[in-house]
Amino acid sequence: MSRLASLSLCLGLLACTERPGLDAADPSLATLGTGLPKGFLMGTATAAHQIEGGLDNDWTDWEAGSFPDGTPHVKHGDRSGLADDSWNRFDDDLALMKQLGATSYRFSVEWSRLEPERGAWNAAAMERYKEWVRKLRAAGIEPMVTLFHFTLPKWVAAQGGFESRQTMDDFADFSARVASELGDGVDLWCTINEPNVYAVEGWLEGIFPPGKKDDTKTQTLVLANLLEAHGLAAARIRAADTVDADGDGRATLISVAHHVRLFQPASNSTLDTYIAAVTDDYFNESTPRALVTGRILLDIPGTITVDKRIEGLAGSVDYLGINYYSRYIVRADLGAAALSQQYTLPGRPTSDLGWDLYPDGMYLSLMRFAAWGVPVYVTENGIADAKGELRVKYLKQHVAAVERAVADGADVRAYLHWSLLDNFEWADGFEPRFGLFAVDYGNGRARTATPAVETFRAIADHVPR
Amino acid sequence: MTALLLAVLLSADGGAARERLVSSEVSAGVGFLGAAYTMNGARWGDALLTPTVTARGVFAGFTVDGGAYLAGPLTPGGVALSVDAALRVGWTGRRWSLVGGVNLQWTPGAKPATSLLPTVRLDVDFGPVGLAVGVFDHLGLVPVHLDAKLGRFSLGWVAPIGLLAAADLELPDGFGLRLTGFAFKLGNAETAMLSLAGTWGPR
Repeated sequence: MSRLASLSLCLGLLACTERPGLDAADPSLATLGTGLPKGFLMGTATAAHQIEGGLDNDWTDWEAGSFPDGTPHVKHGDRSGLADDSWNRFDDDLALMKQLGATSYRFSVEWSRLEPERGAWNAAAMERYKEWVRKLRAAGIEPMVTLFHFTLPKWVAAQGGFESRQTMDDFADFSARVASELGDGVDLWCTINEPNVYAVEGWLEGIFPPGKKDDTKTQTLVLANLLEAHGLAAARIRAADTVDADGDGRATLISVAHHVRLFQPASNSTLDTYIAAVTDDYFNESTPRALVTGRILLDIPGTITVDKRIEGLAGSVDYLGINYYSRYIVRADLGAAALSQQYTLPGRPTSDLGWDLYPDGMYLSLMRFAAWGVPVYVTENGIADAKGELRVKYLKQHVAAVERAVADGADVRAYLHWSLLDNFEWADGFEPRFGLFAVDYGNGRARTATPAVETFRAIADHVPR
Repeated sequence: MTALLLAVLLSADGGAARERLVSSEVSAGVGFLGAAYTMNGARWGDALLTPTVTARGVFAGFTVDGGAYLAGPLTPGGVALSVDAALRVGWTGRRWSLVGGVNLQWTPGAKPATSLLPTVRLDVDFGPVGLAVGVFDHLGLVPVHLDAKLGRFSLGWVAPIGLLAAADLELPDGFGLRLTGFAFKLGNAETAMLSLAGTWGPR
């Protein structure tokens, strides 16, 4: 019957996707934000390793290394080092959030700082995170805490990181501990940042630790482990955090931050369409499917299929965090580990990292993921723009895409811009500039507002209270 | 390539061709193609217009067939325009015909711009009913099909889930019309096409 239904759907194919054409628009700032729902969170996002500074984890080890050809693991040989020194400058950063008129801040707590050795907890570091939460709440800024944002304590990395099932249990223990410590001030939890990106960069591209290349089998097992680990952590967080910090009747709202990409077939060919579909299912669809239904289904045809149901995973999310940046064109290449070549269309506007600036993709992604039946939070969206010439329009277009999705029925409740500050952008080092506030690394890490700060502020002011 | 085939076709021996399962023919038409992929609660796809020409020449059994189409997107922002061409050679007997070759697609701006697929088609006559099986047939669009032909109509299965149907209408002086449609699902990818072509060949 389902096959017949699928076939009947095929007959409806002669209609194409409606794209709102937002990339051709320059939305007016006069009313932007007024179409967002009451209580909508406008904020920014960061991650500990990218801004805090002074860390010692698997990534700091990775930064010190190089590839077999001698090329450093990180562009220009950059090391995160002091990064933005946000560990010691939180009050400065909080002032920037106030300048933005932000109502939410997503940040990560650093596992290697809190538990540098198994079972050895750093009480002073935990107290500092508690202080941050208290200060955010006092400023009317809803904290969202990420528990894993790409970095591991060295003792966890030594046991195989997320290749090891032991790490899943350790991560759940860590999550429970943080939830019990910070739970009286935090309701919004993000267990894992971008499980798909972590797996792809670490085991396919080989540019994140552990630096394995074209190992799509292990990549898939790691992705499955991350999804399962989320389920374990979510259950422990709910048990540990029973305090409703903001009085909305919910002590915990839990999700992952899911990185989504719009995969567009290069041509009408059956192969391009099929490989785009396979890529989309693996990268985009598998995560919400697992979190909502409990079924982990990851398939790379001819290489590996993981298909299992995980007890407790179904319904483990209260919202779906979406990190959206760009669109990728997919050209089938069955000889490649990823089964395709992916690129940006020639002639398109791009960020400093060459990413297609495609706000229609934000709209289409929100409409698509809202169909899973849980509220959607945009947990990241931003642009590498060192000159600061593109960010204003990018921000307006992408918020307009959110407004359009809300108007068309999508339950979207937050927009968190990546990022508050310029920061250490992983394998690309300090070169890409994602910050609403620029950081002068040669001048005491001074923070300077980019033109997009006023744009953000205007939008935040328009959100119905 | 099509012009070359047409020139050769016009020099073919029509009488000889009629003694074989398939005969020389040229066609020109236009199709409406939809290509999409699906996910929970949504479908992303494009509709394209596909002007197409094909030709087949049969010369004492030696068979050459080929064709080309232009896939022009009907709306901006989706898949790119592309040109597809196919060339196959083989042999045609009284009760069977087998051709094989390649499909070449060129998509300006794509990386890589060209892609190559193998293609093969076998037709067999079983008296009142004929069978045809093809791999990347119909100018590369249909991955695998198996269909039965009865008179001027054919109906078939497209793997893994799909249908293919065609009907020929004979007109005077060797002319005809051919209506072809197929729809199939491959994983989460879906393709559907409806085309109408004028044909001509010695009978």
